[in-house]
Amino acid sequence: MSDNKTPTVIESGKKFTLPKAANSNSRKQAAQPGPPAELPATTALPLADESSLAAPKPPGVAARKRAPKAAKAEALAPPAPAQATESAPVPAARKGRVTSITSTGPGGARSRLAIDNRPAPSAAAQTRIFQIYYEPWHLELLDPAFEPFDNRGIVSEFYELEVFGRIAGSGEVKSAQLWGALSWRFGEKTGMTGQQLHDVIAANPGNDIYYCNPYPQNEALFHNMWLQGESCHPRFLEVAEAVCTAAGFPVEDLQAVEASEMFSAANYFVGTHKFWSLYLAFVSRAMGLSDSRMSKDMRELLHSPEADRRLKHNGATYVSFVVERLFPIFMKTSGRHLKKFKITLPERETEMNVHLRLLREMKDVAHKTRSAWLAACWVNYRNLYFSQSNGKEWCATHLRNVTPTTVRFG
Amino acid sequence: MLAIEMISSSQLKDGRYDINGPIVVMPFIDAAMARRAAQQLAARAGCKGLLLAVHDDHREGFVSLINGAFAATQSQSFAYVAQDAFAGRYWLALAHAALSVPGAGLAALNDGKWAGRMASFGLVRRRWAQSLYDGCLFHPEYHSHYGDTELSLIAQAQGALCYDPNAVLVEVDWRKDQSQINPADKSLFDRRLKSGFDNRLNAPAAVRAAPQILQAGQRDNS
Repeated sequence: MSDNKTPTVIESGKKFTLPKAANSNSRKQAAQPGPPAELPATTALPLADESSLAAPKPPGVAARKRAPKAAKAEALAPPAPAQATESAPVPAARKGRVTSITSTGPGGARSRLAIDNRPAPSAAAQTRIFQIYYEPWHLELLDPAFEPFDNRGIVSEFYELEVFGRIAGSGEVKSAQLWGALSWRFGEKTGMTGQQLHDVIAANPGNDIYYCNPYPQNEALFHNMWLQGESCHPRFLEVAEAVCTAAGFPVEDLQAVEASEMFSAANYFVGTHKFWSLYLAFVSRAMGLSDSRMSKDMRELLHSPEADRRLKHNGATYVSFVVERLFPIFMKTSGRHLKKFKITLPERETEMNVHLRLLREMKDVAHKTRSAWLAACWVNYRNLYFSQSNGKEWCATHLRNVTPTTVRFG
Repeated sequence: MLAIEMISSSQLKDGRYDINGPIVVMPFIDAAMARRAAQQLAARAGCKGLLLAVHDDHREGFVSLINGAFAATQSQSFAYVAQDAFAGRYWLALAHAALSVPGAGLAALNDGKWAGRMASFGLVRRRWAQSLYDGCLFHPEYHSHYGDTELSLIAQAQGALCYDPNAVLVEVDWRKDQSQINPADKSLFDRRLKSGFDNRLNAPAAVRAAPQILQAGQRDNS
């Protein structure tokens, strides 16, 4: 947090290798079905290798840019004044905190890069949270408690995961005990400020991974996030089953009742190096195995934008939707020894009506007590809720697909 | 509650947004203002749908962005709003209900100014609007003003303009009455009005009535 508001730029595409199109510069390219992956089944990450942490690429720093403000949309008419683009390099491995950066702008202002060599405040040094942005206007929306992370012009079907890998491999966070990289929409999705996130983490020390779920209604309404995905992305369970089979995960888990504690979305993770090392290796291996073992048709589907037919996610492929659902499997396998802390999102909780709260509690009790009877009651109540809230058409299309015929607990 | 997407205008060209419920499009240049407005509008919509906030990357102007979004989306109804809008409760659900009347094509929202005579913010039935300008929502030669005015007058002449005063969406612009209109847009509007907007005001009475409607709104401003 020492150089808050100083965008971090870490070069893309060298340290972190994810299978297929991870470092593509074109979304269209990323969306195209490609040839069978030539990567080995296990794609090694640099994270486990300490030497990679010691050899960071030189990150660049660009001063925060702001779009001109206008009082009203009608002012869209006049052409925008030219923007001063300021940038200044910073050392790859910082010896101190960058406290101020001034660069030469159009008016001839002088450049200055000031490094404060005093130790950073311990809390700030221990937790570094980046906020990823993709467009200049995103800067206006970033939280001042996070460090801007410039990801302009980089398109990957892995989205945040590609950024995680790049940061992990850069050495940028070597001295931090905890780090994470959140999207520019974090505040909008969670209703939480950056400072609140820091405070929650500080108040609950000693965990390897802090995560949250911006969509708690899914905890009440779906067995698990795989079945939830089926209602949003056509043929999602088919793809998920192929991924699980290829990666050696139990396919039955796709139908299992999962505790609400295990629901997460949007890759909002802040974790230790231990977490990131294990997690990135886990995901990379799973997706590498998927690419190498899946049938050609299924592999092409996995990398196709068919997942986002209605363009709610900028034409994302299935990959990002699969990856964000791997977290519970990770926490039960490679990450089973990690200490986890799920952050409650008060603003999102207020949006939960009484039925959703009861449904979530009911499902959790069923899961905890392994009661198939209570789970069946939950399914019936849930189906009634869907028929009231989502309507006949939705139910006719999706309800059967998201309702397994047998009860199994994950 | 509406889902919110904030995108760059260049992304409009990438594909189509196909939504079951209404689509609300909000062009913007001030991202923070737009996000705040979008969240407020989404929370008070009273129905499901999509609010698509579109950043004007290249200062194309309000009309161009709305037309681009209109072409890039699929939905039965389509609303145009601005980054300085502030919604009353159930604004979109109420406007949607008003639009369900047979023959209705444009639902004017209660903007606190025009009292339903003009849809400065409005919700259109897509099928009706698509027939007007070859797929555009507003006449494409306007830049930032008067597109909504022309559309409203045509709707009124066709008996397609509807209004529920409880569907409130006001423009929070403290300098609105002091702000300048685009003179080129004004000039274009005057020219087009004389021709009945390319004979879309098919009744001469409608052409004569249009200035009176506009003047009534201007008196309201004072």
